Amino acid sequence: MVLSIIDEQEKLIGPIAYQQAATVPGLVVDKAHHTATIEGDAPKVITELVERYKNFFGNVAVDVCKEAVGNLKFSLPPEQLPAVLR
Amino acid sequence: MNQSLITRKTKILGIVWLATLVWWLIMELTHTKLSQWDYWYQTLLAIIPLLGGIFGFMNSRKWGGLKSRLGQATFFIAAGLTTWGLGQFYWSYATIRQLAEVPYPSWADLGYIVSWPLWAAGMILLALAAGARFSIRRHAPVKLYGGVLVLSAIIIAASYYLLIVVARQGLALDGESALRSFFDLAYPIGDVIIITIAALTYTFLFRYLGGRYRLAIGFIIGGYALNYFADFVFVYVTTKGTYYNGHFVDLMYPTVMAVLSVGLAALEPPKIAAESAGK
Repeated sequence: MVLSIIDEQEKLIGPIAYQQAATVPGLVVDKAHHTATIEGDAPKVITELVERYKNFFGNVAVDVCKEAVGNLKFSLPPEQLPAVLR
Repeated sequence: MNQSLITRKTKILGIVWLATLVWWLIMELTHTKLSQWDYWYQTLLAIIPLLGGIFGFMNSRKWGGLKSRLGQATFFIAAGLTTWGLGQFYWSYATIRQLAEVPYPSWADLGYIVSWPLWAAGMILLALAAGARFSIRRHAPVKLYGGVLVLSAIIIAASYYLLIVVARQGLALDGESALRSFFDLAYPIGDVIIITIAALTYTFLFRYLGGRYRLAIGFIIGGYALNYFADFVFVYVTTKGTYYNGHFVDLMYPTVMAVLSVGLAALEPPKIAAESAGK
Protein backbone atom coordinates (compact mmCIF):
# COMPACT_ATOMS: atom_id res chain seq x y z
CA MET A 1 0.00 0.00 0.00
CA VAL A 2 2.77 2.42 0.96
CA LEU A 3 4.61 1.76 -2.30
CA SER A 4 1.43 2.35 -4.32
CA ILE A 5 1.02 5.73 -2.63
CA ILE A 6 4.65 6.72 -3.20
CA ASP A 7 4.61 5.55 -6.84
CA GLU A 8 1.45 7.55 -7.61
CA GLN A 9 2.94 10.62 -5.96
CA GLU A 10 6.10 10.12 -8.00
CA LYS A 11 4.03 10.42 -11.19
CA LEU A 12 2.80 13.78 -9.88
CA ILE A 13 5.85 15.34 -8.23
CA GLY A 14 8.78 13.18 -9.40
CA PRO A 15 11.70 12.02 -7.25
CA ILE A 16 10.64 14.30 -4.38
CA ALA A 17 7.97 11.69 -3.62
CA TYR A 18 10.61 9.19 -2.51
CA GLN A 19 12.68 11.85 -0.77
CA GLN A 20 9.65 12.96 1.25
CA ALA A 21 8.75 9.38 2.13
CA ALA A 22 12.28 8.79 3.39
CA THR A 23 11.83 11.54 6.00
CA VAL A 24 8.76 9.93 7.59
CA PRO A 25 9.67 8.45 11.00
CA GLY A 26 9.09 4.70 11.09
CA LEU A 27 9.20 4.30 7.30
CA VAL A 28 12.24 2.79 5.57
CA VAL A 29 12.15 3.22 1.81
CA ASP A 30 14.55 1.63 -0.66
CA LYS A 31 13.91 3.02 -4.11
CA ALA A 32 16.58 0.88 -5.77
CA HIS A 33 14.91 -2.36 -4.65
CA HIS A 34 11.41 -0.85 -4.71
CA THR A 35 10.64 -1.80 -1.14
CA ALA A 36 9.13 -0.03 1.84
CA THR A 37 9.11 -1.26 5.44
CA ILE A 38 7.05 0.17 8.28
CA GLU A 39 8.55 0.03 11.75
CA GLY A 40 5.92 0.58 14.44
CA ASP A 41 2.35 1.85 14.21
CA ALA A 42 1.40 1.38 10.51
CA PRO A 43 -1.71 3.63 10.38
CA LYS A 44 0.23 6.41 12.12
CA VAL A 45 3.16 6.11 9.69
CA ILE A 46 0.85 6.09 6.64
CA THR A 47 -1.06 9.10 7.98
CA GLU A 48 2.23 10.97 8.41
CA LEU A 49 3.21 10.05 4.84
CA VAL A 50 -0.09 11.37 3.44
CA GLU A 51 0.32 14.56 5.50
CA ARG A 52 3.77 15.13 3.97
CA TYR A 53 2.27 14.97 0.49
CA LYS A 54 -0.67 17.13 1.51
CA ASN A 55 1.84 19.84 2.35
CA PHE A 56 2.62 20.10 -1.38
CA PHE A 57 -0.76 20.31 -3.07
CA GLY A 58 -3.30 20.15 -0.31
CA ASN A 59 -6.35 17.98 -0.87
CA VAL A 60 -5.25 16.75 -4.28
CA ALA A 61 -2.39 14.87 -2.65
CA VAL A 62 -4.84 13.13 -0.33
CA ASP A 63 -7.08 12.17 -3.28
CA VAL A 64 -4.09 10.83 -5.20
CA CYS A 65 -3.20 8.69 -2.16
CA LYS A 66 -6.78 7.41 -1.88
CA GLU A 67 -6.81 6.56 -5.58
CA ALA A 68 -3.43 4.84 -5.29
CA VAL A 69 -4.68 2.65 -2.47
CA GLY A 70 -7.77 1.75 -4.51
CA ASN A 71 -9.08 -1.72 -3.80
CA LEU A 72 -6.18 -2.53 -1.49
CA LYS A 73 -8.00 -0.84 1.38
CA PHE A 74 -10.76 -3.47 1.32
CA SER A 75 -8.21 -6.18 2.12
CA LEU A 76 -7.28 -4.48 5.41
CA PRO A 77 -9.12 -4.69 8.74
CA PRO A 78 -10.83 -1.29 9.33
CA GLU A 79 -8.63 -0.45 12.33
CA GLN A 80 -5.52 -0.85 10.16
CA LEU A 81 -6.75 1.63 7.54
CA PRO A 82 -5.76 5.21 8.42
CA ALA A 83 -8.73 7.59 8.74
CA VAL A 84 -7.19 9.91 6.14
CA LEU A 85 -7.58 7.21 3.45
CA ARG A 86 -11.19 6.21 4.24
CA MET B 1 1.88 26.34 4.64
CA ASN B 2 2.56 28.53 1.63
CA GLN B 3 5.87 28.48 -0.16
CA SER B 4 7.45 31.90 0.14
CA LEU B 5 7.72 33.81 -3.11
CA ILE B 6 10.99 35.28 -1.87
CA THR B 7 13.71 32.94 -3.05
CA ARG B 8 17.14 33.54 -4.56
CA LYS B 9 15.70 33.08 -8.04
CA THR B 10 12.77 35.44 -7.52
CA LYS B 11 15.09 38.04 -5.97
CA ILE B 12 17.19 38.00 -9.17
CA LEU B 13 14.03 38.43 -11.24
CA GLY B 14 12.91 41.27 -8.98
CA ILE B 15 16.23 43.08 -9.37
CA VAL B 16 16.11 42.80 -13.19
CA TRP B 17 12.49 44.02 -13.21
CA LEU B 18 13.46 47.01 -11.01
CA ALA B 19 16.33 47.82 -13.38
CA THR B 20 13.85 47.69 -16.27
CA LEU B 21 11.48 50.01 -14.42
CA VAL B 22 14.26 52.52 -13.65
CA TRP B 23 15.48 52.45 -17.28
CA TRP B 24 11.93 53.00 -18.57
CA LEU B 25 11.35 55.88 -16.12
CA ILE B 26 14.60 57.55 -17.22
CA MET B 27 13.51 57.23 -20.87
CA GLU B 28 10.12 58.71 -20.07
CA LEU B 29 11.51 61.60 -18.02
CA THR B 30 14.26 62.48 -20.50
CA HIS B 31 12.08 62.04 -23.62
CA THR B 32 14.56 59.81 -25.44
CA LYS B 33 12.01 58.69 -28.03
CA LEU B 34 13.60 56.92 -31.04
CA SER B 35 17.11 56.96 -29.56
CA GLN B 36 19.52 54.04 -29.15
CA TRP B 37 18.55 53.97 -25.45
CA ASP B 38 15.04 52.87 -26.45
CA TYR B 39 16.38 50.17 -28.75
CA TRP B 40 18.78 48.76 -26.17
CA TYR B 41 15.97 48.84 -23.61
CA GLN B 42 14.25 46.22 -25.78
CA THR B 43 17.14 43.84 -25.09
CA LEU B 44 16.46 44.14 -21.38
CA LEU B 45 12.88 42.99 -21.99
CA ALA B 46 14.20 39.65 -23.23
CA ILE B 47 16.23 38.99 -20.10
CA ILE B 48 13.33 38.46 -17.66
CA PRO B 49 11.54 35.72 -19.68
CA LEU B 50 14.85 34.05 -20.55
CA LEU B 51 15.82 34.02 -16.86
CA GLY B 52 12.33 32.75 -16.00
CA GLY B 53 12.78 30.03 -18.62
CA ILE B 54 16.14 28.97 -17.19
CA PHE B 55 14.75 28.88 -13.64
CA GLY B 56 11.73 26.94 -14.89
CA PHE B 57 13.90 24.33 -16.63
CA MET B 58 15.97 24.01 -13.42
CA ASN B 59 12.80 23.43 -11.38
CA SER B 60 11.43 21.02 -13.99
CA ARG B 61 14.56 18.91 -13.67
CA LYS B 62 14.17 18.81 -9.88
CA TRP B 63 10.55 17.65 -10.31
CA GLY B 64 11.72 14.72 -12.45
CA GLY B 65 11.58 16.46 -15.86
CA LEU B 66 9.12 15.00 -18.33
CA LYS B 67 8.59 11.92 -16.15
CA SER B 68 6.31 13.71 -13.67
CA ARG B 69 3.21 15.83 -14.21
CA LEU B 70 4.66 18.83 -12.39
CA GLY B 71 7.97 18.43 -14.22
CA GLN B 72 6.12 18.49 -17.55
CA ALA B 73 4.05 21.55 -16.56
CA THR B 74 7.08 23.58 -15.48
CA PHE B 75 9.01 22.45 -18.59
CA PHE B 76 6.34 23.67 -21.03
CA ILE B 77 5.78 26.99 -19.26
CA ALA B 78 9.57 27.52 -19.18
CA ALA B 79 9.80 26.66 -22.90
CA GLY B 80 7.08 29.25 -23.63
CA LEU B 81 8.98 31.92 -21.69
CA THR B 82 12.16 31.02 -23.56
CA THR B 83 10.61 31.27 -27.05
CA TRP B 84 9.00 34.59 -26.05
CA GLY B 85 12.39 35.84 -24.85
CA LEU B 86 14.06 34.74 -28.10
CA GLY B 87 11.38 36.56 -30.09
CA GLN B 88 12.08 39.66 -28.03
CA PHE B 89 15.81 39.31 -28.71
CA TYR B 90 15.09 39.35 -32.45
CA TRP B 91 12.91 42.44 -31.98
CA SER B 92 15.71 44.25 -30.20
CA TYR B 93 18.25 43.12 -32.86
CA ALA B 94 15.96 44.38 -35.62
CA THR B 95 15.52 47.79 -33.97
CA ILE B 96 19.19 48.26 -33.03
CA ARG B 97 20.29 47.34 -36.59
CA GLN B 98 17.53 49.63 -37.87
CA LEU B 99 15.97 46.84 -39.96
CA ALA B 100 12.65 48.40 -39.01
CA GLU B 101 11.48 51.01 -36.52
CA VAL B 102 8.66 48.71 -35.44
CA PRO B 103 9.42 45.15 -36.63
CA TYR B 104 5.80 43.96 -36.58
CA PRO B 105 5.07 41.55 -38.10
CA SER B 106 8.53 39.97 -38.17
CA TRP B 107 10.48 36.87 -37.10
CA ALA B 108 10.03 38.11 -33.55
CA ASP B 109 6.34 37.18 -33.81
CA LEU B 110 7.30 33.58 -34.50
CA GLY B 111 8.94 33.44 -31.06
CA TYR B 112 5.97 35.13 -29.39
CA ILE B 113 3.34 32.99 -31.10
CA VAL B 114 5.10 29.66 -30.50
CA SER B 115 4.99 30.45 -26.78
CA TRP B 116 1.18 30.07 -26.74
CA PRO B 117 0.78 26.36 -27.45
CA LEU B 118 3.64 25.75 -25.03
CA TRP B 119 1.98 27.86 -22.32
CA ALA B 120 -1.41 26.28 -23.00
CA ALA B 121 0.10 22.78 -22.65
CA GLY B 122 1.92 23.84 -19.47
CA MET B 123 -1.23 25.34 -17.98
CA ILE B 124 -3.32 22.22 -18.70
CA LEU B 125 -0.63 20.00 -17.17
CA LEU B 126 -0.39 22.31 -14.16
CA ALA B 127 -4.16 22.13 -13.70
CA LEU B 128 -4.00 18.35 -13.83
CA ALA B 129 -1.07 18.27 -11.41
CA ALA B 130 -2.89 20.57 -9.02
CA GLY B 131 -5.95 18.34 -8.93
CA ALA B 132 -8.35 19.59 -11.60
CA ARG B 133 -9.80 16.13 -12.28
CA PHE B 134 -10.51 15.51 -8.60
CA SER B 135 -12.01 18.95 -8.21
CA ILE B 136 -14.28 18.50 -11.26
CA ARG B 137 -15.48 15.22 -9.81
CA ARG B 138 -16.09 16.73 -6.40
CA HIS B 139 -17.52 20.19 -7.11
CA ALA B 140 -18.44 20.34 -10.83
CA PRO B 141 -19.66 23.97 -10.81
CA VAL B 142 -21.05 23.62 -14.34
CA LYS B 143 -22.60 27.11 -14.33
CA LEU B 144 -19.24 28.60 -13.45
CA TYR B 145 -17.47 26.80 -16.33
CA GLY B 146 -20.23 27.93 -18.68
CA GLY B 147 -19.76 31.48 -17.40
CA VAL B 148 -16.03 31.38 -18.11
CA LEU B 149 -16.62 30.13 -21.67
CA VAL B 150 -19.28 32.81 -22.36
CA LEU B 151 -16.95 35.47 -20.97
CA SER B 152 -14.18 34.22 -23.29
CA ALA B 153 -16.50 34.46 -26.30
CA ILE B 154 -17.39 38.03 -25.30
CA ILE B 155 -13.69 38.95 -24.95
CA ILE B 156 -12.95 37.50 -28.42
CA ALA B 157 -15.87 39.43 -29.95
CA ALA B 158 -14.85 42.67 -28.19
CA SER B 159 -11.22 42.20 -29.29
CA TYR B 160 -12.29 41.66 -32.89
CA TYR B 161 -14.50 44.73 -32.83
CA LEU B 162 -11.91 47.05 -31.26
CA LEU B 163 -8.81 45.76 -33.08
CA ILE B 164 -10.22 45.00 -36.50
CA VAL B 165 -13.40 47.01 -37.01
CA VAL B 166 -12.48 50.16 -35.04
CA ALA B 167 -8.68 50.30 -35.30
CA ARG B 168 -8.24 48.87 -38.83
CA GLN B 169 -11.59 49.52 -40.44
CA GLY B 170 -11.80 45.86 -41.46
CA LEU B 171 -9.53 42.99 -42.47
CA ALA B 172 -6.81 43.52 -45.08
CA LEU B 173 -6.03 40.45 -47.14
CA ASP B 174 -3.14 41.54 -49.35
CA GLY B 175 0.52 40.58 -48.82
CA GLU B 176 2.11 42.01 -45.71
CA SER B 177 -1.18 43.46 -44.52
CA ALA B 178 -2.68 39.98 -44.49
CA LEU B 179 0.18 38.78 -42.30
CA ARG B 180 -0.36 41.71 -40.02
CA SER B 181 -4.10 41.11 -39.90
CA PHE B 182 -3.36 37.51 -38.98
CA PHE B 183 -1.20 38.56 -36.02
CA ASP B 184 -3.64 41.34 -35.05
CA LEU B 185 -6.28 38.66 -34.63
CA ALA B 186 -4.05 35.81 -33.50
CA TYR B 187 -2.60 37.67 -30.50
CA PRO B 188 -5.84 38.50 -28.71
CA ILE B 189 -7.46 35.17 -29.67
CA GLY B 190 -4.42 33.21 -28.49
CA ASP B 191 -4.40 35.23 -25.29
CA VAL B 192 -8.09 34.55 -24.74
CA ILE B 193 -7.52 30.81 -25.18
CA ILE B 194 -4.78 30.92 -22.53
CA ILE B 195 -6.87 33.12 -20.22
CA THR B 196 -9.76 30.70 -20.63
CA ILE B 197 -7.54 27.77 -19.68
CA ALA B 198 -6.13 29.79 -16.77
CA ALA B 199 -9.61 30.88 -15.62
CA LEU B 200 -10.92 27.32 -15.87
CA THR B 201 -7.89 26.15 -13.91
CA TYR B 202 -8.63 28.71 -11.23
CA THR B 203 -12.31 27.71 -11.32
CA PHE B 204 -11.46 24.03 -11.00
CA LEU B 205 -9.13 24.70 -8.13
CA PHE B 206 -10.44 27.73 -6.29
CA ARG B 207 -11.84 25.69 -3.40
CA TYR B 208 -9.46 22.85 -3.81
CA LEU B 209 -6.00 24.24 -4.27
CA GLY B 210 -3.98 24.06 -1.12
CA GLY B 211 -0.49 23.30 -0.04
CA ARG B 212 2.65 25.29 -0.33
CA TYR B 213 2.40 26.21 -4.03
CA ARG B 214 -0.95 27.98 -3.99
CA LEU B 215 0.61 31.43 -4.29
CA ALA B 216 3.06 30.41 -7.05
CA ILE B 217 0.25 28.92 -9.16
CA GLY B 218 -1.83 32.05 -8.51
CA PHE B 219 1.02 34.18 -9.92
CA ILE B 220 1.20 32.05 -13.08
CA ILE B 221 -2.57 32.33 -13.66
CA GLY B 222 -2.43 36.09 -12.96
CA GLY B 223 0.50 36.47 -15.37
CA TYR B 224 -1.53 35.01 -18.23
CA ALA B 225 -4.44 37.34 -17.47
CA LEU B 226 -2.10 40.37 -17.50
CA ASN B 227 -0.57 39.17 -20.78
CA TYR B 228 -3.93 39.57 -22.50
CA PHE B 229 -4.04 43.27 -21.60
CA ALA B 230 -0.45 43.84 -22.70
CA ASP B 231 -1.02 42.14 -26.07
CA PHE B 232 -4.29 43.99 -26.56
CA VAL B 233 -2.66 47.38 -25.91
CA PHE B 234 0.30 46.47 -28.14
CA VAL B 235 -1.85 45.43 -31.11
CA TYR B 236 -4.07 48.49 -30.63
CA VAL B 237 -1.26 51.07 -30.50
CA THR B 238 0.71 49.52 -33.39
CA THR B 239 -2.46 49.45 -35.49
CA LYS B 240 -3.17 53.08 -34.62
CA GLY B 241 0.46 53.94 -35.41
CA THR B 242 1.11 55.41 -31.97
CA TYR B 243 3.58 52.78 -30.82
CA TYR B 244 7.26 53.62 -30.36
CA ASN B 245 10.07 51.65 -28.72
CA GLY B 246 9.83 52.50 -25.03
CA HIS B 247 6.02 52.97 -25.08
CA PHE B 248 4.13 52.21 -21.84
CA VAL B 249 3.29 48.76 -23.22
CA ASP B 250 7.04 48.06 -23.14
CA LEU B 251 6.81 48.38 -19.37
CA MET B 252 3.73 46.14 -19.28
CA TYR B 253 5.52 43.23 -20.99
CA PRO B 254 8.46 42.91 -18.57
CA THR B 255 5.96 43.18 -15.71
CA VAL B 256 3.86 40.37 -17.19
CA MET B 257 6.95 38.24 -17.80
CA ALA B 258 8.21 38.98 -14.27
CA VAL B 259 4.90 37.86 -12.71
CA LEU B 260 4.91 34.65 -14.77
CA SER B 261 8.60 34.02 -14.11
CA VAL B 262 8.29 34.61 -10.36
CA GLY B 263 5.41 32.12 -10.21
CA LEU B 264 7.40 29.55 -12.14
CA ALA B 265 10.62 30.15 -10.19
CA ALA B 266 8.72 29.78 -6.90
CA LEU B 267 7.47 26.33 -7.98
CA GLU B 268 10.65 24.95 -6.53
CA PRO B 269 10.83 21.70 -4.56
CA PRO B 270 11.82 22.07 -0.92
CA LYS B 271 15.30 21.08 0.12
CA ILE B 272 15.18 17.79 2.00
CA ALA B 273 18.01 16.92 4.38
CA ALA B 274 20.41 14.59 2.55
CA GLU B 275 20.81 12.19 5.43
CA SER B 276 17.09 11.55 5.75
CA ALA B 277 16.50 11.48 2.01
CA GLY B 278 19.26 9.07 1.26
CA LYS B 279 17.65 6.02 2.82
